[in-house]
Amino acid sequence: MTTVSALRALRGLLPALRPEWRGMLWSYLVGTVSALALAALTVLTAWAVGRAVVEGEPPGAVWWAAVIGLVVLRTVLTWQEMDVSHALAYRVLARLRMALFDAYARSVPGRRREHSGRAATVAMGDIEKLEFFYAHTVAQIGASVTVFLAALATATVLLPQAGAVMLVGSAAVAASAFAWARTARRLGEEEQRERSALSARMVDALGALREVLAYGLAPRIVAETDAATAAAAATTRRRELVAQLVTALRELIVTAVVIGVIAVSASAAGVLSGSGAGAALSPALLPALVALAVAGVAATTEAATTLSQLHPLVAGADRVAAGINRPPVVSEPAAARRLPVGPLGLRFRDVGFAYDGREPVLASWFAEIAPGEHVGLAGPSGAGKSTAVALAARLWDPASGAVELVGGDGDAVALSELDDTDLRGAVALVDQDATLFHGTVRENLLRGTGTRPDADLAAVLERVGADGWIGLDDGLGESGVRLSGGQRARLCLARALVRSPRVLLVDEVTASLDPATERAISDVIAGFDGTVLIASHRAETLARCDRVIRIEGPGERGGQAPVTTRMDTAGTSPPSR
Amino acid sequence: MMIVRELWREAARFPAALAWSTGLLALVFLTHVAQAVAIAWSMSAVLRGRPEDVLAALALIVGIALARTALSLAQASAAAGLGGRVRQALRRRAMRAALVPERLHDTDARDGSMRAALGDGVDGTDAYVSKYIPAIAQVFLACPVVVAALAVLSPVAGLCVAAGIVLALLGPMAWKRMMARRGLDHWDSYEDLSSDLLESLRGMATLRTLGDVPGTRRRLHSRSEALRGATERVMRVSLAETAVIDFAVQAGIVAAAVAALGHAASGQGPAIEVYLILLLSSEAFRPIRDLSRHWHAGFLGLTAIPGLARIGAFASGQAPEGVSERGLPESGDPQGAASRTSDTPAGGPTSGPTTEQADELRVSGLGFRYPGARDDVLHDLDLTARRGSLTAITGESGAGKSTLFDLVLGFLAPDRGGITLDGWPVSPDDVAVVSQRPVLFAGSIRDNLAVTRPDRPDRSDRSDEQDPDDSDLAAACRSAGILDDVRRLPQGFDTEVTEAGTNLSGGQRQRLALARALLARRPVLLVDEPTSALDAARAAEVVDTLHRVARDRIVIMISHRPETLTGAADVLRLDAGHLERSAP
Repeated sequence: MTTVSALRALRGLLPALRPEWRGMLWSYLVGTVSALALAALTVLTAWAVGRAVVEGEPPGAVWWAAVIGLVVLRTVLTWQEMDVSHALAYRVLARLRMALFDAYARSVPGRRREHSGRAATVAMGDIEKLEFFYAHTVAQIGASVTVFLAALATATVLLPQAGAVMLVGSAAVAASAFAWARTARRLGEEEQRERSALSARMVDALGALREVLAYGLAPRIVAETDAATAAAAATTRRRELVAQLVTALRELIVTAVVIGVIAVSASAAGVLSGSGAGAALSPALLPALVALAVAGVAATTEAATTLSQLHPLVAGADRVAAGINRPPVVSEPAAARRLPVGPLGLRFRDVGFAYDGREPVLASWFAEIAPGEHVGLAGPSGAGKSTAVALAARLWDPASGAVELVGGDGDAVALSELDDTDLRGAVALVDQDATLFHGTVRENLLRGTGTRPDADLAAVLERVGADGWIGLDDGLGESGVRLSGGQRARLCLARALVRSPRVLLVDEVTASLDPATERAISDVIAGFDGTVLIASHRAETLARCDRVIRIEGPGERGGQAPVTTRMDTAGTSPPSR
Repeated sequence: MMIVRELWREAARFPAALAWSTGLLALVFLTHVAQAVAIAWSMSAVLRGRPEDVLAALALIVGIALARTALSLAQASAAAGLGGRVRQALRRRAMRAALVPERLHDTDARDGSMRAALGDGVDGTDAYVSKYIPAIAQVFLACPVVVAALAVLSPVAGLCVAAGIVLALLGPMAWKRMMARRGLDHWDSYEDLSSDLLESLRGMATLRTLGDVPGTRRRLHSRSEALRGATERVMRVSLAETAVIDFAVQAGIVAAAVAALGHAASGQGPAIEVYLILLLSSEAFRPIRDLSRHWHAGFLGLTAIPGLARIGAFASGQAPEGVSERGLPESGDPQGAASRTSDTPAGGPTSGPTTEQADELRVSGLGFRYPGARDDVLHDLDLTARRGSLTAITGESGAGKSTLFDLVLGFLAPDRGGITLDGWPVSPDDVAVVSQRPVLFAGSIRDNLAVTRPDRPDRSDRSDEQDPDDSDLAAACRSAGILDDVRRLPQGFDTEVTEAGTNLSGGQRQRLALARALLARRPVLLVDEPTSALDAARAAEVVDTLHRVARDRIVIMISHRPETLTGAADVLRLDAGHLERSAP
C-alpha cells in the first residue's frame, strides 16, 4: 500500500466525524489549554529555579498562585479533554457499527459466499481499533501544533538561535512520523489478516463441533490455533519493534534539540567563548529556555507519535471502508410500484443467473405459476432448483430477465420494482438452510411481523403439529441446537405461515423427514390457501402439486443453457395466457 | 495501580521472559536517570563557565541516548514475547475447553460470544501483560532508588516525591470495585452484541426473506448503544484514575521544585544539586507516567477477564500443567486428546479395538434424559449391530434417534446402561459419522476430505506425505457418488469450500461428508439420513455404497425412506425411546 492510498484510507474515516464537529472543537480547545498549562508549569518552575540559583531570589506570591492554579487546571482539563474525546469516539464507533450492519444487510448472502466469522471480525475488532483514530488524532494533533507554535514564538523572542534549533528539530521529529511507515502498514495488514483467519477458523470449529468431536479433530484444531496465535504474536512483536525503533529515533532527535539549545544558549550567554561581556542571554533564563524547548519539541513528538501509531491501523480502516461500501446484491427501486391485490402468480421471464466465477446456473429460463396454483420444481441435484427459489425470494436479482409477481388481472410487477416491506409481506420462504434464532419460539415466529395474539401463534403451531412438544415461551438455542431436522422444519414452516403470505416458496424441507412428518408437512402445504412453488426431488412431495416443472442442470453438457421441460403430473394443463 | 491476579499468574509462568522485560525496562530507566544527571552537569558547567565540561557532558548525553536505543529495542522485543506467550496459553486452554461435547446440547451457548472471548478477549490481555506488568515492576524497582537519591540531596524533595508516588499508586484503588463492576457490564454487552451480530450475519438470508432486517437493526442498535454506554462508564472510571495520577505527578514535581528553590535560596549547595533535584524529581515520576499510559491502552481489554475465566482460559490453581505449558506446541497435544477420551462415557482405559475392524457393537439397557427434561428420551434400549450387513433404524422425528447416535459417539453420557464394541467400552475413535446436516470447514475440498485420515488427527504439520493421495480421495468420492461433481468444479479437489460449505448444494455436502467418513477407516460408521437431499438415482448409488461398506464395517443408518431399507438385514423401529424390530 502506498502512502497516497494510506492517506486516502484515513481520509475516508473523516466523514464519520462531521456530526461531531462541536465536540471536536471543544476537545481541541480544552486539549490546547491543558497542554499550554503543562508547558507553562514546567517553564515557570524552571524559571524560578534558574533565578534562585543565579540570583538567590525566591519567587513571589504571584508565582505561587500561578503554579498552584496551573496544577489544578491541568488536572481538570486533562480529565475533561479525555472524557469529551473518548465519548465522541465511542459515538462514532457505534455509528460505524450500524453502517456496517446496513451494508451487510444489503449485500449478504453475496453471490460469492464469504465468511461470516471474517465479517464479524471486521465489524467488531477493526471498528474497536479505530477508537484510537477517533479519540486521539484530529483535535489532539491540532492542539500539539498550537502548543508548538506558542513555544516556538516565546523561545524566538527570548533567543532567536534557540528558536531556530527548535524549528529544525521539530521538522526532523515531524518527518520521523513517516519513518518505516510502509513497514508498519504492512505489519498492521498482516496482523489483521492473521487475526481474521484465526477468527474464521474458530467460528468454523465451533459451527462444526459435532464433526470436530466425532473425528477427534479438537487437538488438531487447538494446535492449529496455537500455531496461528504464535505467528500473530510474532507479527505483533515485529510491529512493536518498528514502533520502538521510530520512538528511539525520535528521542535521539529530542536529545539533539536539548543539546543544541544548551549549546546555543551557552554560547549566547558567553560561556563557551569565555567572555561574559555582551551576553545575549542571562544564565538565569537558561533552565527556562531548555524547559521551553523541551515542551515545544515534546508537542511535536506527541503529534508524530500519534501519526506513527496510525500506520498499522490503515489496513483495518481500509477494510471497514470496504465493508461499508460493499456493492448491494439487490437494487433499491427508484419509485416503488404497488402490489396488485388478491392472489399472486409468479413468472420467471428469461431469467439468467450465475454465481460469481461460475458457469451460469440459469440462462433464459422461463416458467410461470398461476395465482393460487401449487407447482413443484424438480430436477437433479445442483440443477438450479434452489437458485430459482432464491431468486423468487429476491435474495439476489437475476443477471438478465426478471422475476415477476402477477396479479389476477394479468398486471405484472417485477420483484425489483417493489418496496422490500411489501415484498416480504407477500412472499415467504422456507428453505433447507433457514436459521432459527436464539430466543423463544414466540420471538422466532414474530420475526419481521408485527404483534400477533398468542392464540394465533398457538393455532399455527398446532397446524404444523408442533404444539405437542414445544410452547411459545420455550427457548431455542442458537440454530435450534436441541431440535431434530423435522422439528426445525415444522417451526420454520410455522414462521412462514404466521405472516399469512400470498406466495409460499419451499426448498427441500421435506428431504430429511420421516414419512409421517413429511406427510404432515405436505398436508399443511397442500392446504395452504395461496400460490406455492416447492423445489424437491421427492416424488411423494411433487405428487401433491398441481403441476411439476423440471429443470435440467447444465450437467455433463458443460454449461449449456438448461433445458426446461414441463411435465403434467396431475392432469392440469399449464395456464394459458 | 490495578493488579489483575489471573494475568500476573499467567505472566509468572514465563519467568525468563518476565525477568527480561522487567530488567531491561529498569535499565532503560537508568539511562533516563543518567541523562538527567548529565543534563544537570552540563547546565551547571554552563553556569560556571567551563566549556570543556559542557562538551563532555553533551557527549555523555549522546552516548546515553544511543545506549537507550539499543536497550529499549531489546526490551520491546522481550515484552512482546511475554505478551504473545500468555495470549497463546490462554487461547490454547480456552479453545480446548470450548471444543467439548457439552456444548452440543447447550441452548445457552452462543458462538458469537465465544468467538469474541477467544479472539478479542484473549488479544485484549496483551497490553496489560506486555506493558503494564513490567511497568509496575519498574515502579517498585526504580522509584525507591530515585527517591532515596533525592532524599540525600534534599529530604524535603524526597518526601514530596514519595508522597506523590504513593498517591498515584494508591489513589486509583479507591475505584477498584466500581471498575470491576463496570468492566463486567462492558464485556457482557460486548459479548451480547458480538453474538447477535454473528448470528444475524450467519442468518442474513433468513432475516432478509422474513423482512426482519429493520427489526434486527433496531435490536442491534440497542445492543450497540448498550455497549457504548457501558464503554463510556468504564472509560469514566479509568479517566478518573488518569486524572488522579496526573495530579499526583504534577503536584509532586512542583513540590519538589519548591524544595529545590528552598535549597537554592538558602545557598546550601552548588547549582548542580538544585538542577539535579529538579530533574530527578521529574524522572522519579517517569515510571508512574508509563504506568498511566499503559493503563489507558489496556483497561478496556481487562473487562474480558471474567469472561475469559468463565470459558476456562486460566489455568486452575497451582498449575500442574506448567511443564507441558512451555513444552507443547507445534506437534501433538497429548493433553487435549487425553482430556477428550476421559470425557467419554466409557471413561477409564480405552484400550479397545481401535483397529479398522470390529465385529459387534452392543447397546444394552441404555437410558437417557436431558437435564431439565420431563421424560426419558431413551429407556431400556438394547441393540446389537454386526459387521457384514447394514443395520437400519427408523422412527418418527423426535423419537431419540439422534440422541442414540450422540450416545454412541460419546457426546452424551448415558444415565443407565452401556455401549460396547467387541466387549470393550466403545471409544469415539472407533466411530465415524455422517450427520444429517453435515458441516464442512472453510478450506479446499481436499483439506476437508483429508481431515479424517486415521494417521493424521493428532498432527498439525501439513506435510504432503500425510495427505491421502488423489487415488484414495477419488475412490472414496466415487463410492459416495460425488466424484463427478468434484471433477466438474473449477479447481477440482482444490476448490475452496466456503464457511459451513454453503457454496455446495445440500446433496453435495452430504455426499462429501460420506466420502470423508469413508476415508476415516473406522470400525463403526453411523449415518443419519444419508439420502435426504439426493434424487432417486443418487440415493440408490449411496445406499449401494453403504451396503458394500457394511461388508467390512459395522454400519448403522437412520432412515425414513422405504427404498433405502430394502436389503438391510436389520430394520429396527425406534418408538418413544424404545427399539422394536419391524418387518423389513
